[in-house]
Amino acid sequence: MDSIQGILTFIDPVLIFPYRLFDNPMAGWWVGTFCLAAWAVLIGEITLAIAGKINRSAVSTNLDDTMYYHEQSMKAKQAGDEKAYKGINKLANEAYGKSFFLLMAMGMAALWPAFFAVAWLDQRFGNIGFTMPAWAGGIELSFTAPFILIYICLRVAWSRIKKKLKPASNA
Amino acid sequence: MMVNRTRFYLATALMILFSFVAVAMAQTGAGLTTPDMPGKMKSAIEASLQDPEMAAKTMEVINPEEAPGFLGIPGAPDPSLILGLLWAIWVGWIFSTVGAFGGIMAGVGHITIFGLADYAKSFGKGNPVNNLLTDSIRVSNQWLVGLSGVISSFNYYRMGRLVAPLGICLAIGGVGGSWLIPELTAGKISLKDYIGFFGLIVFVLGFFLIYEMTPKGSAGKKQAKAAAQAFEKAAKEKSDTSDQGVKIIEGSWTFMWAAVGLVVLSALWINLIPVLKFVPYILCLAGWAMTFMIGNIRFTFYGQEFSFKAYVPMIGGIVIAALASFLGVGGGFLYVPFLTSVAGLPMFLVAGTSALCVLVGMIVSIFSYMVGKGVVIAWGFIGVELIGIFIGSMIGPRTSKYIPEKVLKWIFIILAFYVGIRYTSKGFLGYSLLPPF
Repeated sequence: MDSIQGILTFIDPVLIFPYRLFDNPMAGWWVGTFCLAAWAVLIGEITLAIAGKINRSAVSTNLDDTMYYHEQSMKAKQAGDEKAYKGINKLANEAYGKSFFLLMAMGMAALWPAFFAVAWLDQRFGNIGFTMPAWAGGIELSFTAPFILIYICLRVAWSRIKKKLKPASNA
Repeated sequence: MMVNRTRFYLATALMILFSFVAVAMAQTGAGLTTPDMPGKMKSAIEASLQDPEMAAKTMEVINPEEAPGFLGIPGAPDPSLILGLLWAIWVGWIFSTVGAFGGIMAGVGHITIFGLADYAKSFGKGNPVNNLLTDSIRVSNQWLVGLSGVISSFNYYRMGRLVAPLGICLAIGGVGGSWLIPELTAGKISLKDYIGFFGLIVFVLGFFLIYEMTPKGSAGKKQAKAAAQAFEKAAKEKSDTSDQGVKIIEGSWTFMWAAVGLVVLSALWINLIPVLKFVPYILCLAGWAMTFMIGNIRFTFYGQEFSFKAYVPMIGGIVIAALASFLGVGGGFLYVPFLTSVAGLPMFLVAGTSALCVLVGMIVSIFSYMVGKGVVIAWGFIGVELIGIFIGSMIGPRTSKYIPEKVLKWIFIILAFYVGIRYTSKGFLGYSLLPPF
């Protein structure tokens, strides 16, 4: 684990910089955490783009098989052949399973920077807890909660921007 | 998605460089600072010292003279990054060639390869340190295998290939199941039992794989392929996709939303409100009972009508989410056969709905562990594993061209039986019937 520590120490100056932009610790915390989440989204998206490019043919071959069996299974259902429908549907699921897990593995790849970001946060701000106001139950959230929230919002925002830039793309 | 060539090469070079840096740094660990032990781990160690019997065990295992290892415990195994990376490449390769077995393999890594399970066990049954390490292993598995359902769920919903009521009914069972099981077992189940159950599940998976290889199992597949070819010649129906989405024609949305509200509220209550512990149990049971009032749900897809009783997926959801959450796996490998065989759904609906269920179950389960039980996670290590999965998922499609599917299946049958027998015997008998003992 020491080596992870080494990586975190190495990137520390870049990540801590935005936290020190403001004298107000709360403003610094939110700006810094926003920048951290933005880094995690950016590097994750680049990883995903590489994976998408490299695996495009494998995914599309599996999806073609899936579409073919799906079409045939629906035809069987329309013809009232329940046994054939079930059998072909199983083949379609199998074909889809392959691309599903491949896409899932690629989706996970996009998340790796977020874990490093949380590891760094844990080291820097691991003891910080966020106490919610009394009307919200007064519960204490861990240091990860604001980061996860900003990260998810940024991912959603980025996917919308991406669609606007490339309406035809569905990657 | 188009990426311009220069940026693509630059990013690839950066990724490779980063992997090398990670590996190089792993070899020069000496002299680097070690992080402080997480507060939760400190509390667990302090708690174990309150009991004389446990205290003796804890003091015997933890040697303050030794270097801090996993989660900052002095003398604990310190999984090397290279090992973590290589193991994750293997998991990524499985994901991209065979699929569902990946989650199981990730678990095997966390339990055995990194030496964490035996170390946790050395603290003895009931020791808080043992329980904290066990929970950490379980949640690490979940982080590793269940985080990408969200992408596919949204895409399928947009394409009208998600049966929302079916997903919701599964989630009603799933949300309850995934907080109840952690609530009843977190901190109570020792690693020995966990390993035993884990092995049992892998064992069952092995039998399924074997059945598929038998003449009976593969005959069905041959017949289906022939039938598909026969239907290929059938007249092509109008391929206007606007008519091919899911249309709900019967089902009570009011009861459905009410039931969802109750189980979500129960999950939030158990995690966030420390008083009146019996309330969430009542809310959850009320939500489940309400599902019986939803009645039948009918919908059309591709012009064909399908129907199911609302409580069937709800009960399925309870069982699947409980199992998945207990074992720290995604549950995808359980949802698909359930939706195909029990609910008889066409492929696209199975894919979208199961992705949604995995996602919902995962979020609640991880939330329960992280907020409610305060499980400690080795974040950076999982980050490295994700890089490994990324590399593995790109190797998979390239090697599967050269390895016949039958050979792949046999590899996994042998693996499943080896892992299954070894873990079941280790968990329930206390020693492994297969090497390493």
